[in-house]
Amino acid sequence: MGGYLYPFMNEVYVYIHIPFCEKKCIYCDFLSIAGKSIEKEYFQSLTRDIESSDILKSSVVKTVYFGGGTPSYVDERYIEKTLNTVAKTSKAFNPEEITIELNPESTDKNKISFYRSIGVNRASLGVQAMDDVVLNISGRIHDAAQAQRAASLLRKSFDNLNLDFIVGLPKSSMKTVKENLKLIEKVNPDHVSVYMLEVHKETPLFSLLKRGKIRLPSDDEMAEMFDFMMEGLKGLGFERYEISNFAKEGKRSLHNLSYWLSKDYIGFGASAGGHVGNYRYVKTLNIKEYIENPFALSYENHNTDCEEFKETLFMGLRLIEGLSIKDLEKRFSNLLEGFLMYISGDELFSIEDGRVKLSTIGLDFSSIAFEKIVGWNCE
Amino acid sequence: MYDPKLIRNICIIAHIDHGKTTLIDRILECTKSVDQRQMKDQFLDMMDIERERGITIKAQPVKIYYKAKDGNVYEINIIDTPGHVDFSYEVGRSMAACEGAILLVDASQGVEAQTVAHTYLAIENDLEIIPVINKIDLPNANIEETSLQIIDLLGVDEEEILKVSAKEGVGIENLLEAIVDRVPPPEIKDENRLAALIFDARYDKYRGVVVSVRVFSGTVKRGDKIITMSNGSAYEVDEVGYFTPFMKPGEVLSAGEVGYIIAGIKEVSQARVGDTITLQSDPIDEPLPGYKDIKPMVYAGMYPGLPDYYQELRKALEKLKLNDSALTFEPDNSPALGFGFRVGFLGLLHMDVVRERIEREFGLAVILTAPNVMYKVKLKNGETVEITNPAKFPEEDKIEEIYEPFVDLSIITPGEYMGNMINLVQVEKRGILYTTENAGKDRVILKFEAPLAEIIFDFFDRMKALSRGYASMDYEFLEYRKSDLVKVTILVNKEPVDALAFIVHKSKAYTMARKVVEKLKDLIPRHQFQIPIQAKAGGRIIARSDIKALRKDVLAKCYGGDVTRKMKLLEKQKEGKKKLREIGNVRIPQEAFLALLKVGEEEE
Repeated sequence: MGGYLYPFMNEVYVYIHIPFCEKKCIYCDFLSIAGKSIEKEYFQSLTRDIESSDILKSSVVKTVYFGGGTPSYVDERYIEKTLNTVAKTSKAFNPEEITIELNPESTDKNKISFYRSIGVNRASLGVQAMDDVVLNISGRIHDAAQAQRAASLLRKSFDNLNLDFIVGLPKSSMKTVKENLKLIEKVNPDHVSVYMLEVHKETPLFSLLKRGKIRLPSDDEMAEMFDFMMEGLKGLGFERYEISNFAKEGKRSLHNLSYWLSKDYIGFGASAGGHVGNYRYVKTLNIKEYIENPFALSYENHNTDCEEFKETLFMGLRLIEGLSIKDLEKRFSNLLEGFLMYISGDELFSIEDGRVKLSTIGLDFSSIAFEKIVGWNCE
Repeated sequence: MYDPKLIRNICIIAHIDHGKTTLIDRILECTKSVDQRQMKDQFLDMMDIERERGITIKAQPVKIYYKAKDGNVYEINIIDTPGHVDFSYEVGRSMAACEGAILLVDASQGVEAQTVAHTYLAIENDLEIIPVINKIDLPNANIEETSLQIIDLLGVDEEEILKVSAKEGVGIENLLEAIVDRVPPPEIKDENRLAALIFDARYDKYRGVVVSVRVFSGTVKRGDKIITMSNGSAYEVDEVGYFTPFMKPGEVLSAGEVGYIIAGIKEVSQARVGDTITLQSDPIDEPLPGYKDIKPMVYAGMYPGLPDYYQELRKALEKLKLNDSALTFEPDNSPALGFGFRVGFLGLLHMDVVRERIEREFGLAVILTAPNVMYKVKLKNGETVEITNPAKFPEEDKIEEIYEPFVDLSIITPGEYMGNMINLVQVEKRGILYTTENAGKDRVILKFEAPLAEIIFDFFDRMKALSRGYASMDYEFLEYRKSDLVKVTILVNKEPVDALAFIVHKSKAYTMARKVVEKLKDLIPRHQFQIPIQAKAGGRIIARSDIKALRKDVLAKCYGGDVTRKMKLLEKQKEGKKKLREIGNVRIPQEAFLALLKVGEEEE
């Protein structure tokens, strides 16, 4: 069909969650389980889920994103089948971007050519740290050499490649980030994500830290590492367009932008979330329940204007360029002024060239800036 | 009325964990005084906190009947007594209600300082003391050495010491026989007017105050008009009765007996321990001796965890006061912590118990500031003021002299730690050793005069650490003495924080100030900007530390499925910050207000 416009059709961005990993990393708080003994049942439910989506049936698909978990860990034919189901069910299917997440140990030539053959045009590789000690203590099951091999292989087949890094993992140091930058320079990806480590309560990392079994780099060291990565990426021609995301020109993640710009997106699979109009939902967080009933939800809400506005800001201000005040005016005319008053004089925010965004300080203290947004009462 | 010749009134002297409550449980079992179904382990410690901590705070009496080998059935009243230094006064009053005492010593621990202090108290009260070694079943029981210690303490013969295992029920029968044989029956004076000693008072939600008494002369029954002699308040008796240990109404309480009186008394502070009850129509001339108006020894600021809960905290304190005559409180307003109370306690354990009860029974989180003693300050204008809050200490140029409370401190320690103990008290804690005595083969009693302020801070733990846990202590208020003290003010980001101010001896001002600012540096989280922490005394900054600026606080990740989860997380984070107090633009967590108490924790 390619190249047509669908002016009267709703556009949606499709996320598909694959909750299986060979092994769970100690810091991970995404929904996934180790092993794939129930992948068959899971994908059956996933198919049911997708086929029953009324939104999908009436929409044109802009992007598809296979996230996890470790999508590269499951049998690739399930990926093909799922993608076909999305294509078949949607009103129109001509996505600009189809991404799959991979881990180094499950990346090989056959898989890559298979993914390419079914239309996947963007790869996102979880490297995390180019340091064997760090990878090992974090529960990763690959080493730096494997990460490098996988990245190079992917580079050959994809003209849109992302590498994921985490800064501040246990045992990491400036040496680690320097090695990270070396890999980036060598592989020359189009997009890089650099996350400062977040410690979540439900993870093994949290309890290890609490029991004093493991130590993290100090706050200062983490900040230094992140800043070093950021500078290095800048030098390599990447632009920081979101708090943790960097891209070469024209290579921003279209799919992820749909989240940050609060567009209409739908999620399939356990724990996947969607947002259509003012409606937000999250699928069940229980994989077994999902297999029994793929329509089970852990959260749903028809947002009030205030809620919708806060979510829009919460996501949109993650973008370095922030949000257009004119656009916000169109959707939230009666709330916008109150918000601008609320943040006026706050050094974490700035209003510039008709856009509202986080200031330079605000980017460093985004947690506090977002806390302020969450705490705003606009009802 | 029971034949006074067949009554025995006794109490038990024991250190915490030496098995007093287990012994009473076993006696109850042995004399079938408590229905099996009602039997809970550790029967007499009624309060949850007491049961958890294994300590007794309120003296709780129980009456049992025992058929002795001589064929008579004896009424034995056992008065359980508090086992902690904070409650020594109550112990003395409980003893005054008895003719005998069981001195219970753990065979694996030996005699401890508190036991010694209480034994002297029992001797002062002319009690017949029955020494008992408990826990003889333990593998590390040292019966021989414990016997020696007891012989040293009491000057008794080896044969007089009973050996029991309360846990295993060994030797209980012998003990009951000894009580009957050795403890004299109550002496009945030739006096018909009522004199009843209050040795405990407990608030009951439905009945009002239940007063535990020992009747020394006369009788009391329902309908009598009684007065409490210390304050002359009059009440009409609704009910009298006994503790079985449950309250069981009776006709009349007569001379020699132990029981309870309910008389529409609203709160326990109106029926003070040690006071004498007599009849309004025919009062006795003199109250029974020994009554003291007990005063708090330490004070601390108590504030609601969340500022909006001031009224709830007030209600909780008022309710606790109904049952705790030693508790005092008055409203206090701190610029740092908002509205709260200055609360007076008997000691640190009392403070802990009060805080725990408020948190547990009333579900209120509270912030406590570091405790301090009461200072007496003589001003240049001749006036003397009592200061319970360092923040309200007078300006230096107005002060003529400052007085602080001193205590008589005894420490019992194995000989090998004697040097450590003397060092601790004399070098670190400004105390003066005035005598040493032997206590058993290898133990000494050290007696010091020391400032109370030094004993409430970081003393007990240090003493235990420096004696590998073997030393024990007891203290008693001595007098107020002139002292060279100074107020140290703490400034956080240049703002003085009243709740962090403290009073310290001039010789220790620098060291303490330095430790406190260092501790605060660890306790206050980093902010987006650098925060100086300064200590100021006598108009000068005497210590400083800096909390470095935090460089980043980032929400690294948020994608489509995370929006609500991450927003909730931040809401929680924000909620959590509500518990922090803002001073200027610095958020201070609750633990920081106890920094003074935490100083020195790492040194061990």
